[in-house]
Amino acid sequence: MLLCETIREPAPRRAVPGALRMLAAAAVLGVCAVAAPAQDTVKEVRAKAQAALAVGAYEDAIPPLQQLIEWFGESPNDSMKAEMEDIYFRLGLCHLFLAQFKECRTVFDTYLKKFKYGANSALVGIFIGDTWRYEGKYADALKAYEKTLKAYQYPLDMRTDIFVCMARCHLAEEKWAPAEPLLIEIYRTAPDPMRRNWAAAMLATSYFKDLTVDKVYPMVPLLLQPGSFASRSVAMNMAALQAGDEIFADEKYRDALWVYRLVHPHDTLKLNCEDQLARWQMRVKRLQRTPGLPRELLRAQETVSEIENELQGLEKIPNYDPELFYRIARSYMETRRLREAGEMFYNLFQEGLEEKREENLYFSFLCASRIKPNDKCLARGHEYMDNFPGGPHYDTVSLTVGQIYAGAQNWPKVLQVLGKALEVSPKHEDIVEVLFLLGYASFMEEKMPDAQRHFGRIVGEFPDSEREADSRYWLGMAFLFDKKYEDALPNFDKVVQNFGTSVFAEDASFRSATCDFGLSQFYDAERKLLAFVQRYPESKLLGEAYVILGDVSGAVGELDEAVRRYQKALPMELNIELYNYAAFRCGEMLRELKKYQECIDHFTAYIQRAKPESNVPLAVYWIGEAYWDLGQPEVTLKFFMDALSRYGKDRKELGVDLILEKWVDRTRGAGKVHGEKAWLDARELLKKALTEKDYVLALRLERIIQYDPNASDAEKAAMQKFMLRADNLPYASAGVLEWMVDAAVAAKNADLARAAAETIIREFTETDYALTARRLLAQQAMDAGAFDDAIVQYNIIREVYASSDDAAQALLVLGRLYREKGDAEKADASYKDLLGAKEWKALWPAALYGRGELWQAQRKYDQAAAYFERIYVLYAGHKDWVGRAYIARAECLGKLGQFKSAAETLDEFLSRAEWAQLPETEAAKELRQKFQARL
Amino acid sequence: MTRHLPAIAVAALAAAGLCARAQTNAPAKPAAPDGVLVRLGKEGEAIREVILVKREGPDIYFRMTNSPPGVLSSFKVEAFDDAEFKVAVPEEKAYAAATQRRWAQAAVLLHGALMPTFAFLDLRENNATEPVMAAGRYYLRAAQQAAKRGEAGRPEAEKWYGYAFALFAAAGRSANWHPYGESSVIRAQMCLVEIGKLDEAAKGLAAAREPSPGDASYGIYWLAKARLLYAQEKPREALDAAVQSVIHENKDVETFPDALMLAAQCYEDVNEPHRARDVYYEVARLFTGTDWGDEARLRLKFIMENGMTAAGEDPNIAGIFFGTEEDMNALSTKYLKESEPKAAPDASPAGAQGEKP
Repeated sequence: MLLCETIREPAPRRAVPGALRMLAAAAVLGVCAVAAPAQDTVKEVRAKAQAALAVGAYEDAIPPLQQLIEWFGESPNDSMKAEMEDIYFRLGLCHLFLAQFKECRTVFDTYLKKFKYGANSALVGIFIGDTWRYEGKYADALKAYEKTLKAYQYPLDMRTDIFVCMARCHLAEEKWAPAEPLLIEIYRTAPDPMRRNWAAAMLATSYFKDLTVDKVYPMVPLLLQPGSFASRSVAMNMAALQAGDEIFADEKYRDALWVYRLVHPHDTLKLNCEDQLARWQMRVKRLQRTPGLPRELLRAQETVSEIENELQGLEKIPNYDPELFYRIARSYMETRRLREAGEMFYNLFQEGLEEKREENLYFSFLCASRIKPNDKCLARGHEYMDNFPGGPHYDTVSLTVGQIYAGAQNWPKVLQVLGKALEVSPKHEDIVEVLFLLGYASFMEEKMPDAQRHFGRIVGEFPDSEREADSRYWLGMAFLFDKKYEDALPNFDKVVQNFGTSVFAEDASFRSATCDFGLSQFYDAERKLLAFVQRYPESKLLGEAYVILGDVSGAVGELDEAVRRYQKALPMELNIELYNYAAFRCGEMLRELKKYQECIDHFTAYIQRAKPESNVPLAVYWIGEAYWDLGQPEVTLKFFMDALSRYGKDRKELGVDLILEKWVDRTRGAGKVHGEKAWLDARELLKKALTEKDYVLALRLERIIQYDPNASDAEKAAMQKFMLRADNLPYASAGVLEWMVDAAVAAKNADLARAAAETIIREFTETDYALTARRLLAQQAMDAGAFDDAIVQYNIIREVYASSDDAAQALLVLGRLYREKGDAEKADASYKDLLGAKEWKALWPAALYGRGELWQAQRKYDQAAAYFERIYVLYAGHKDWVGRAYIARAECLGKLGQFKSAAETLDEFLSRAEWAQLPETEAAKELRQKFQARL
Repeated sequence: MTRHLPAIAVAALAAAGLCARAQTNAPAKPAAPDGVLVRLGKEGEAIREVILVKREGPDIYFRMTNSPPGVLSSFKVEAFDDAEFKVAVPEEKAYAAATQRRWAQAAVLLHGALMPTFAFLDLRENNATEPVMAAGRYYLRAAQQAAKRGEAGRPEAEKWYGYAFALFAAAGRSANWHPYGESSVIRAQMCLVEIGKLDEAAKGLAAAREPSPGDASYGIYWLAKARLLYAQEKPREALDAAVQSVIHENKDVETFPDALMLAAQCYEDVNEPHRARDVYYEVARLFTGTDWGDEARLRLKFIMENGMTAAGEDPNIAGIFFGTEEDMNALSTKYLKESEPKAAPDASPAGAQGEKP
């Protein structure tokens, strides 16, 4: 419960006498503005009355007014009667404003007897009721109001006023039943929103108390009027709050929401009261200077008193805002309005009670987690984890955030969030799930050791978890992708043996066979694969299984069986890489088996099947070669030329350049007749291409004509000149561009070489041609002293062509460039990378020398000497480095003052007969003499 | 809690060009007045009754009631504590028309009477600002009513939106003292959205201060943003903005039901029909007998008749928390059956300010 005691409605209570006194001065001033005509003897009395009223001394005004009545009260004179009516009225008002209600009634009763249909009779009737009401004699007040209602025909405005007064009488005694019809009448007929709103608010208060909230809902539009009574009624708001509590406790969340939302927050209620008080006080001031509106002034002053009471009442009520907002948020949440709930909880987190901050942020997160998009959920989740590490809901939040990132395949984030989660909460309530996601994300990020560690923890520490089968499978996969087939194998086998119903069972049995294959256990692999294809005839891995079976057969030398298995695989579901692999392995084997016609048929079928990303030019190449093998050189050359004609227009078709190169080669071995015919065909095709403005093909042909033995030097030079133009770049294939790079370099046309290289990088980015281009750009940058540009290119080469020799060369150059830039750390890292790959062993002396130079530059000569020594000790066969290494080590020893050792080092170098011819010998001799002189 | 912001007042003044344009088309435009009689009050001083003639920047030009027309003096707007315009505003008539949802009539009644005061609404505690705001709101409702008639109602809707803009811009002058002055400036921007001047509206809103929760203009600010975003065909962002309005301003009938209706429409647009149903049901139940209630009931009926919520809700949403057992489809169907209108909505005697209890 938000509140335990009922707050009484202060509004209908009697008016505060002080307020009435304030009213008196103003009202009398208004009345006095209409002055009575002066008479000589009465003049003084009248003047006294008027003077007293003018300063608000209504007590002083009463005697002269009474004197006038005594003199002229019974006068039969019509004009005097009219004046007396006004005097009686003013005297009554004086008593009313002095809270002398009995005297007031006496005067007004007399007034009504004398002036039943006087100008103010209807008003006086109301005032008589008011006096009883102000005295707290509500029954008498009600009688008076009813009486005056019967006696006079009131306009709607005044009639409404009487109903309001009558309702106030009932409400003051908490008699809601008789008040209700009056309130309903006011609600229906009042000519202004203010009184309608008042009635609605009072009715709502009653209905809230009875928990008949359905009756409140139709009045909601009126209750939500800004600046209205409802917006500052403490009673209505407290009744609504209590009703909301009870409905909420009954788990009627929708009704609770609707009711709670009608409650103004404590602060707002206070602000509304203060605002309205100021405005009503302003209204009172206005009415005070507006003559002839005593009733309006009376009511305005009553309202001021009411609001003052509201404010006093409100002071005693503790601030209920955080709890109210919390319950509204909860109600939104329970009625599935998650956006609204989430925002409210978030506000409560930011501004609510300290002790509920954690819960509120968690709820906000929870709501956000169920709606799309996920960005808000992630933001809230991170905010929770940052603010409440190890909080009550930390584990749930961290896992959910991790799952969302996993759903979005944002694996680095999964690793970041869940990695941190395990640090913060090592005994995470969902540790298996966390480990699983970490393992999976590591796998996807190709961090296989990490994946192995996480999955390994699951199968090792939580063997009976629901994730065991999945983890074993992925553990196997992590080992498999790390080429640790021995470690992978038992995991796949366990999935097959222990978790036969797992979704991974089928895949695991396949992977188990691939592990055997990887371990060169070909017969085990074959046995498992044959069992696999039998057990899972509908498997999507069937094609791949037959490809590996083909590989197995190939590995054991059963080429016919290999061909059969590859050909069985080809119509099955295979990704394009595997499909091409199987097709070309099969073709190669057919050629190896000298089944040339079958090879031709095989590749012809391959071309006819033409899938996206099929390597048709390569198939053409193999068919041409098979024709060659069949001893049909003319067919080979024609076949190649036809293919060139068919595919040569597409500059992106890389295989065409390969065919061209082969074609040139074959023209040389095809015999003079066939060779010359072939070149003529090529020239014919070039003519046709030029006529048809097929510049791509034309450039390709012009490039190969450079190799035509019958072409004159002048013709070649003219053709080269024509080809080496920047406007040819958009039509040049990768092969042509590569030729242009080389030819432009040879022609010392650095700009064109650079433009061609850039075109290759831009348009043939992923190809080996780009490597040539990058090498050139790097070299040009080096030549121009633009070392930063060179570093960019070399870094790309080492990353994109990571396993190539060019990458090793690039690392070597990078080491040097970084050293020259003074970035020893990066330089050393480059050398280390180079030293980490066995394939690049040939360059290890250079890398070691580079590391030695780095130490040397830092004046750490002993470390440097050790590196130089390793070169001639371990790689003595590398003669281009041995001499340099000896000299460099001797220099280091010299710097260390070890002249004897330095000389001995050089002696050792000079004593070896196999190195006597090395260019460093003379320098070594000179240096040796120098050291000996220092001894 | 802050309730005034000078920047808003500046924006309101900047919008004066459009105000003037819209006013020239007002149907109830009276002859250009020679001035407006006003009673000016200042603490400790006698009331002064003067005729306000014109204003130039912060200077208000007036003449005494007994002076010839050409004899003008001036004062600064902050020179007085309160101002009572002596204009005959048919507030009761306008209110009566409004209760019968004759919005245009209600607006025109007030508009004509109040027009002479427009230039002086920054006079503190004046008695014309609130009726001007009311007239603006009535025009807005009239425009919304006309817009429901589709293309046929479009010209009329645009006309009323134009007048509403003019009145809100004028009422926006009161941002220096009235708690809802700032809201009026924002409402003016909302009118621009409705007549398709999205860039202008966006600029106006960007110039406005972003209110804090509890500020009088908070709800309308986010509602205006939501309407702008919705007009820019960004329903998801519009929904987020509408939600800000709904959760922070649910005590103002001039904002709350509009924000709910927009939220419901957005829920429809982002394909969350169950939530759209819930919000329409809420508006239909809580704003019975109003334009919002009628519209919400129609949309609820459409959703139910087309079985848009017949399929179970996303278990991700339905299966969480403590779970209420309410069958909202059944509740909605029951409500639609019980509230089947016996007469056309416009003929309802209950009026726009709520139903009979």
